[in-house]
Amino acid sequence: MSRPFRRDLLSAGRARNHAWAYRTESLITALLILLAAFSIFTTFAIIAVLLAETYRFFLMPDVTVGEFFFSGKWSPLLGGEKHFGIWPLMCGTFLVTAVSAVLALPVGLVTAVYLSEYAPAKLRAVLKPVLEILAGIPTVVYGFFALTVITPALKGLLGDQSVEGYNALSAGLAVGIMTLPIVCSLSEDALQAVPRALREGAFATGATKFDVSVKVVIPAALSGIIASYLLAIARAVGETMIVALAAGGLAQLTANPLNQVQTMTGWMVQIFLGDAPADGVEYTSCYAVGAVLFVLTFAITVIGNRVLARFREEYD
Amino acid sequence: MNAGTVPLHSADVTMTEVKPLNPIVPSNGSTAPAAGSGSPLSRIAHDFAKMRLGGEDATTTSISIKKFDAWYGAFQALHGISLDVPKKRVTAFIGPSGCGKSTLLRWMNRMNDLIAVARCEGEITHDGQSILGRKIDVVELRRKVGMVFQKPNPFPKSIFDNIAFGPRLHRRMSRSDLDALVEQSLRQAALWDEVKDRLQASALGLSGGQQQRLCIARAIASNPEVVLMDEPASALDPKSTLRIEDLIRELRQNYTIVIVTHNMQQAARVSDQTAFFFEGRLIEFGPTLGIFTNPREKQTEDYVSGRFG
Amino acid sequence: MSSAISNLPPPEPAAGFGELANCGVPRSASWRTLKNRIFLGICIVVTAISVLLLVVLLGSIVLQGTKYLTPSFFNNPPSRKPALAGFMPAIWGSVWVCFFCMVIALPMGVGTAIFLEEYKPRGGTLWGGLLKRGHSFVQLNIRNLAGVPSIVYGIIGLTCFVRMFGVFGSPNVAMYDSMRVLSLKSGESVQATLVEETDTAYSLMSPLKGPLTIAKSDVDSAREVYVHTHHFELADGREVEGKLRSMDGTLISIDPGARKANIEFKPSDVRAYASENAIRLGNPDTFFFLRLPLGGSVLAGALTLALVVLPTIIIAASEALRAVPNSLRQGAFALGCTRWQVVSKTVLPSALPGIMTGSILAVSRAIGEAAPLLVVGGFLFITFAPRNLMSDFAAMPLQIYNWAQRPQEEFHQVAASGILVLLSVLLVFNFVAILVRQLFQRKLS
Repeated sequence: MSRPFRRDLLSAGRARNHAWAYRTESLITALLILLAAFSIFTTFAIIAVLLAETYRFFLMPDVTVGEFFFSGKWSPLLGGEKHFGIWPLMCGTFLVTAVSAVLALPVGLVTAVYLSEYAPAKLRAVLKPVLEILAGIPTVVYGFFALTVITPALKGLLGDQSVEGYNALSAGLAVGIMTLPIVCSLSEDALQAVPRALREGAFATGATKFDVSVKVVIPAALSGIIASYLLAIARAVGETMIVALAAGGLAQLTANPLNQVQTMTGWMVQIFLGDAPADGVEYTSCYAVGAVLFVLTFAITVIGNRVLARFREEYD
Repeated sequence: MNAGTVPLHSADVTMTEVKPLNPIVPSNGSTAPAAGSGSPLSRIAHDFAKMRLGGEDATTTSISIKKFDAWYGAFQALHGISLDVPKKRVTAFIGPSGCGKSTLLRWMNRMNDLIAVARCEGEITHDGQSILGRKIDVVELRRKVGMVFQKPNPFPKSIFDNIAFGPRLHRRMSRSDLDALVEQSLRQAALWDEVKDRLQASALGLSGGQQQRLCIARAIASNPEVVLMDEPASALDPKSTLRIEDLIRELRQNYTIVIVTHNMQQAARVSDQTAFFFEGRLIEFGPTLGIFTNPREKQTEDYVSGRFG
Repeated sequence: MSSAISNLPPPEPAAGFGELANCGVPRSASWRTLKNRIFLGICIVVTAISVLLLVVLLGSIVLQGTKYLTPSFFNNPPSRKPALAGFMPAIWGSVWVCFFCMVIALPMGVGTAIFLEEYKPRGGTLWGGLLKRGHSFVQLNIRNLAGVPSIVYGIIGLTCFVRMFGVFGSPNVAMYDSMRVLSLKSGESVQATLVEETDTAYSLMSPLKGPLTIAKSDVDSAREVYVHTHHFELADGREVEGKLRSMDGTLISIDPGARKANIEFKPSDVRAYASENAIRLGNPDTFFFLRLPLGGSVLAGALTLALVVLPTIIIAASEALRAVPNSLRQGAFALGCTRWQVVSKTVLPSALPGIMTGSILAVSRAIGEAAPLLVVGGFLFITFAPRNLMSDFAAMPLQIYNWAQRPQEEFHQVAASGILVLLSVLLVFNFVAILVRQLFQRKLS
C-alpha cells in the first residue's frame, strides 16, 4: 500500500503539536496574566489617584482636615472666604438616598414577594423582563423625568411655594425608581432560594399564605434581602446624572427634602462643567469628595456582597 | 376486613435476642399461623403486635375515603380508593414507589392544593364532614390534620419558636401557657430532656433524628386529631429510626396516625392496620398481622414476600 | 410500657394536653382569611405601581419627544435654536467612543475572566505564590469594583488618560490651542495661530510679531502643533505662562490658572516666546493620529468607559465560563490538549453565547453612561463627528443632559427626542442580545 500506516501519521502529528503548542501556551498564559494584572491595576489606580490628590488638596492654603470633616459649611465659590466642610454635601447625598430608600425598599420587597410567592408563572415571565427594562434605562432619562414630570407634579400637589424648582424629593424619587429593580431582583432571588420544604412545613401547621410568606419565607431569606438593600443604597449614593439635573446646586445642611440640596456627585459635576482652573482648590476638592464617595460606596458594597455570599452559602 | 385483635401483653421484649414466642390465640378464633413459622416479616409482625397498647376494637373511624380518584394533570394517580382510617390507631400505607400512597396522604390534609395541576374526585370525610370542596376552611383542617415530612424541615428559628409557630397562629395565648404547651409537646415527642436548656437555640443545630422529633412535636403542638407521616424515618440513621418508631407507637394513644412507608418491616413494627397500594389502586387493607402473615390477595403476598417492589 | 428498645425516656401521657392546647383565645378564622386577602391585594397594587412607573416614565417621554423628532434632528449639529437642534455629533461621538471602548474592554475582560476561571495558579514558588494571592484578590474584588460609582472612574480617567499624571506638563490639557509652524524658504521658522488660509497665502497672528501674512510660495513646509501652555518673557522681566485667552494685534490675554486673574499685555512687550506642545504622531486629517497627552479625546473617553464596563464584562464572562460543564474540559485534557487548547477549542465556543450576551449588555451600559464622559470630555457644544481618536467628542447622554438643563421648554422637548433615539438604540441592542443568545443556543444544541 502506498498510504503510510495510520499509526505513523498520528504520532507524527502529535510530535509537531507538542513543541508549537507549548510555546504558544506560555505566551498566552503571560498575556492572560497581563490582562488580569490590569484589573488589579485599576483598583490600585483608583486608590492611589484619590489618595494623592486628596493629600494635595489638604495641603492647599484654604483647607484644613478639621474643617473638612467637622464643619458644616461648603462654600468654595464665594470668592472671599472659602469653606470646605463636607457635611452639607453628605447631607444632600443622605437626603436623596433616604428618599430613594423609602420608595425602593418596601416597594421592591413587596413586588418581589408577589412575584415569588403569589404570581402565576405566566405573569411572572412577563413582569420580570418589564422590571429588568427599568434597570437598563440610562440615568439621564430618570433625571429628565424628575425635572420635567416629578417636580411639576409635586408643585401641583404641595403648592408652588413649598416645593423649590430643584429639590431633593424629586431627585430622590427618581433614584428610587432606578434602584427599585435592584431590590426587586435580588430579593426575589433570595425568596426563591428558600427551599420548598420549608413552605410545605409551614402550610402543614395550618398557616395561610400570608403567614407562610411573612412569618417563614421572609425571615428565612432575610440576609439576602438585606444584601439587596445595601447594594441598592450603594447605587443611590453614587448616582450622578439624576441629582445633577434635579436636585440643585446649593450645598446646605437641611432636613427638608423639598429644599434644594447639592450632593457630593452634584458638586463634582458642577466643577467639571464649569470654568474652574485645573490647579485650583475647587478643582482639587473634587478628588477629596470623590475619595469620600469611593470609601462610602465601597464599604457598603463590600458589606452587601459579603452578606449575599454568606446567604448563598446557606442555601446551596 | 378481618377484625383480628391481639390480646394485651406487657412483655418486655428486647432487641438483643429473638425469643421463641408462645403461639398467639386470637380471641375471635380467626386463623393466624403458629408463631415461629412463616416469613421473617410475619415473625416481626407477631413480635411487635404484642407491644401495642390498646385492646379496644378499632371501630371508630377518623377519616373515611370513598371512591377517591386523583390526577396530576392528565396522569391518574389514584383509582377509586375506598378505606376507613380507624381512630387512635396507626395505619400504614405500603406499596412500591409511584403507587400513589404519598398522593393519598397529601390529599388527606389538602397539601395537594399547593400543586396547580392536582385535582381529585370522590369523597374524603373527617369526623363525618367532607374535607374537599372550596368552602372548607383548609387552614383549620390542617390544624386538625397535621403532617410530618420525609426530610425534617424545621424553620430557621429557635426550637421554641418552631413549636410555638402553630399555636401562635391559631390562638392568642399568654406566655406562661405557651411555655407549658411547648414543654408538653416536647415531652410527648420525647425531646424535652435533650433540649430543655436550649430552647432559644436555633433548631438547625439539632441532629437529623432530633430535628424530625422536633417536627413531630411541632405537628402535635396544635393539638391535632390526626397526624400524617410521609416516610418520617427514611432520611434518618437506623438508631434514630428506632426512636421515631417507638415514638409513633406511644403517640397512638392520643392521635390517629397514618404513616406512609416503603419499608415493610417498619410497617410491621409500627402499625395496627396496613393498606397495600399498587399502581394507584388499593389492593388490600386490614390488620397488619393479617396482611403480613396471611394476605388474601396474591399481589399482596407477592409484594410482602419480596417477589417484586 | 417499656422503651428498652431505644432508651428513650417514656413519653408523658397526654392527659391534660388537650386543656393546655385549648388555653387562650382562638384567633378568628375569618380575620385571618381577610388578612390573607388584604395582603394579596397590597402585593398586587404595589407590583402594579412598579409597572405603572415604567409606563408613566416612557409615556411622558414619548409625549414630549415626538415633536422635534424630524430628519433634520438626525443630521444637524446642536444649535441655539431648538428647532434647528440636531443630534448628529452626539450620535457619532457615542458610536466612536463606545466602539473603541469595547475594542479595549472586551479582550481585556474576557482574558481576565479566562485567567480567573481556567488558569488557577497553584502557588508553590515565589512567583506562583504571588500569582495565587493576586488571583484570589482579583476574584474577591471584581464584584466590589462593579459597585463603584461611575463618576469615580471618570476622575481616574481624567488623571490617568486625559492628563496622563501630569507627565507632559501643565494641567487641564483637555484644551489645546492649535498653532501652525511654518518653515520658510529663508530658513526662518514661524509659529503662529492661523487666522485665514487662502490659495496663495497664510494670514497669521504671531505672539512675537503680531499679524502676519506669508505667501505660500515662501513656505517650505507647514505643520500643525497643539499647544497646551504658552510661555512669554516680557520686556519688564515678567514671566507669564498659561492658556491663551485671546490674541490680536493690540492685546494678548493669558489665563495663568490657579484662580488668578488674567494677565494682559501688548504684543510689543513680548521679548521671548516658547510653547509647550503635545507630542504628535501622524496626520490629523487621517485616522492615524496620536497626540500625547491625550486630552479630552475619543481615546481617553474610550479608555475611561472601558474602566467602567470592565467589571461587568469580567463577571458576565466568568459566569459563562463557569457554566461550561467540567466534563468537557476533562475530556479535552484527556485527549492531550494544552490548557490554552482546551480553552480555545472547547470551553470558549461553549461559553460564547453567554459572553456575547454579557458584552452586548455591557455596551448598552456604556452607551447610557454620562458621568465619566462628562468628567473626561466636558465639551457640550461640539458640532462635528469625530475624525480620529484624538478628536473631541460629544455623546448622546451628555447632549441630552445639556438640553435638559436649559430653562426653555422647547429644549426639554428636544431632549426628549434625544432620549427616544437613545432608548431605541438600547432596545435594538437588547434585541440583538436575545437574538444572539437564541441563535447560538440553537447552533450548539
